[in-house]
Amino acid sequence: MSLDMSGTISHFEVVIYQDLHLGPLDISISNTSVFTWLAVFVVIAVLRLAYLHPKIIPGYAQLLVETLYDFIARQTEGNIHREGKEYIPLMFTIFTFILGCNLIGLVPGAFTPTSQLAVTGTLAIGIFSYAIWVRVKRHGWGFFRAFSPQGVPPILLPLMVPIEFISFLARPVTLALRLFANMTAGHTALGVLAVLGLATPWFAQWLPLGFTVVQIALELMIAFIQAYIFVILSCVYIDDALADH
Amino acid sequence: MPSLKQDKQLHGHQWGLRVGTEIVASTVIGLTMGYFIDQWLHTRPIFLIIFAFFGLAAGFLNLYHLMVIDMQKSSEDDSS
Repeated sequence: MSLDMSGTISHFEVVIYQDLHLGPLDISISNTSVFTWLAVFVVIAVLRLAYLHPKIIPGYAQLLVETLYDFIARQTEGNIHREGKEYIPLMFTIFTFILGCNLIGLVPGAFTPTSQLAVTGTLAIGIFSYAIWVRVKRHGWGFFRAFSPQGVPPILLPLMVPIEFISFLARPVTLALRLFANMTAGHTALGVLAVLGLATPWFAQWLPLGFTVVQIALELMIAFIQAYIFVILSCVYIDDALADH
Repeated sequence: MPSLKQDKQLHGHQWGLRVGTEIVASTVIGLTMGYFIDQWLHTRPIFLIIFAFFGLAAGFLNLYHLMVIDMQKSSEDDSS
């Protein structure tokens, strides 16, 4: 039996359902936008339903949501040292949004919005721009001095300034790349295992298809970890912007 | 508050996942900057090579910063 490996990556293809343009903006309805909105609605519905009848002694659903919130609140306050409390709503929103996008991709036939670099890149650039705005608001334009580290002899400055500048610019790129790469790699691995499983003779099929079950469990864990990492790093960048230099 | 075992495990995950992309991203940014400067000044491949090294150095610098922050944190945890 020949192997049709195109099935392993075909689910990353962006399909445009309706071409829409608003001036120079391309607001076409594609599978990315549809599944992003779906993820948002699912997240809102789940959180609302779990909190429909809040009790002092919580039920299972309420306990789950409260644990999730408590976890993010603790991490935010631990990583943004001074004004962590103010950022809890933002961080919880980012966390649940990314988690929703990651998890919705695990439903058979669904599309993973976070497997598109455009989606993760937009999120990362948004956070990064906000961190720069906070920096400028707090420290004025003096933050550019951070690119020339203290105690460096002037002769080394032409070497240090570009290095510091690149390491600063690398932040949003790592943030976007990590989420995108993890989601894409996980789904590709899942696709490869499934294609191999279908191509194997019937008596050996249990092996690759059994592994897809393990891989899905791993994907579930990665969906949580990646959303968590994104939030933690956003906290670190915002904390860095708030701190005195 | 003493750190829990789960917290330490999560911390390990966080570290491992962060370190991997750090060098790749910095090098890519360095290369991109070098490529465009070369295109602008028609000096290919001088700036591409120079900025590739800058990018690599930036990646290692980021790793160094990460390590310093991490060591400070763990020493704070130990002393409290």
